[in-house]
Amino acid sequence: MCRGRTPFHCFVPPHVLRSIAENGDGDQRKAALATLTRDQSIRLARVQNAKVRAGGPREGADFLAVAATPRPDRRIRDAQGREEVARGPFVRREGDPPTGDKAADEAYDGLGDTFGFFLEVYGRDSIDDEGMPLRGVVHFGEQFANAFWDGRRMVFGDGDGVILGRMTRSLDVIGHELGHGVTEAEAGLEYWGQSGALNESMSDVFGSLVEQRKRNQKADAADWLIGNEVWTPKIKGDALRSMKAPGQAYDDPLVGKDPQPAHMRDYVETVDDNGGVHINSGIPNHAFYTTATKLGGFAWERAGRIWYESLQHPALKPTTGFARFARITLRVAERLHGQTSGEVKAVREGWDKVGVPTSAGA
Amino acid sequence: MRLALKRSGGIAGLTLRAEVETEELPEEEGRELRELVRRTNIEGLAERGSRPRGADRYQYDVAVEDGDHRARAVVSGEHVPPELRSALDRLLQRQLG
Repeated sequence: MCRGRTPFHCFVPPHVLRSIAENGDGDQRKAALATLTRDQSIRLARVQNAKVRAGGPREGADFLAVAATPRPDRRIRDAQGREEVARGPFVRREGDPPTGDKAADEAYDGLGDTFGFFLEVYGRDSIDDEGMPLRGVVHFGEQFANAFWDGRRMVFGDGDGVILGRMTRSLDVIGHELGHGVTEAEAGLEYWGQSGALNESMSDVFGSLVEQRKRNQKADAADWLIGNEVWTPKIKGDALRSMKAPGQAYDDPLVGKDPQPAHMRDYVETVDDNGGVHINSGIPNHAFYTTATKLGGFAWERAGRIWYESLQHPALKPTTGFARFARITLRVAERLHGQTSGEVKAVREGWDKVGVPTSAGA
Repeated sequence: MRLALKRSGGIAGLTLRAEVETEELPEEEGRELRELVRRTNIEGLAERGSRPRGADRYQYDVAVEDGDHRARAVVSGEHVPPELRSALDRLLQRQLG
């Protein structure tokens, strides 16, 4: 099982492997256990590598360590209006000069900013922390008003021209899509219900932090909006989502009102949108916003690190919901900053604000 | 033939809906749409499931009433045959004027 080298071709989720390891016949058990063990050691090695790198160049660092500074490997294709991700020509590869095509250049620059964010802030080498190429596809489809992560690439449409425009215009949208790759590589959060909404929220957190760092903004100066530049001028709205005020990003006759809740009491049960992953993400989004603004300063430094290390925590399972994730963030904050620290208090206040309990018995 | 369509998800998380009687469409468009839907195994689509590969894909909810035959599928966009998906997108986009 799962013989491919990249994790993206490995479709057997850990809980299934665990079940095979517990219930399968001899050979099945052996194979499942081997895969589980390998996944776990890869994860530990990644965490270890990230910690070493996050320290930056140390005194007496040897030549090899310096020479091995990770670099992005961007590969932008033009789908030329077709719904094909792997056929269109490469229009800009790493080190190439600008093409003059806005979507291609925005994707190249935005992926570079996001790569730099993960490397310089968290010591992470690309999506998989092993230097994975950043594959971007622009001009995908006809009047395609979406951007997505296909498990391997970040894909961007030009918009329908009626409600949504070119998706690469917003840096946080580019960061959001690359963030899905990071979440998939680290935690494999299932794209359904609460685990899916957490997956979405992690992407909004990363997207927003990439933009805040690019603008050198502290938490109280940031707009905490996702996709400010993608609505067409005729839509009444500031952005697609607001982490500061979920539910208030837009209100328009054509597209309706922002449906995001900011508290568990308003959690939306639905089968649409994979169980409301883009709706209920408002809850963890607002918890992060609350924690980050209570702490002040640059949000990526403390709140961002707590969330990022929570994503790497061994207790995070693919089906983890809000309450379990909240408890993990608290544990990580305790480990990084101490039990009586202001950071722990801010994390607890963040989850309290949105009605997600963090006490052990919850 | 009656179609009730819904497309949700995508990075914007917007939901578009459309209800269509193929007999009320221009003749050729209605006929092509009926043939396209009849060629597609809607129940088979449902079995492929709604769980997406990756993230921020569109999710389609397609309900069909064709005489006595009824079928419905909730399915992630990459599992819908491209020709049908384009036809559904055109019908949904039309709702935006």
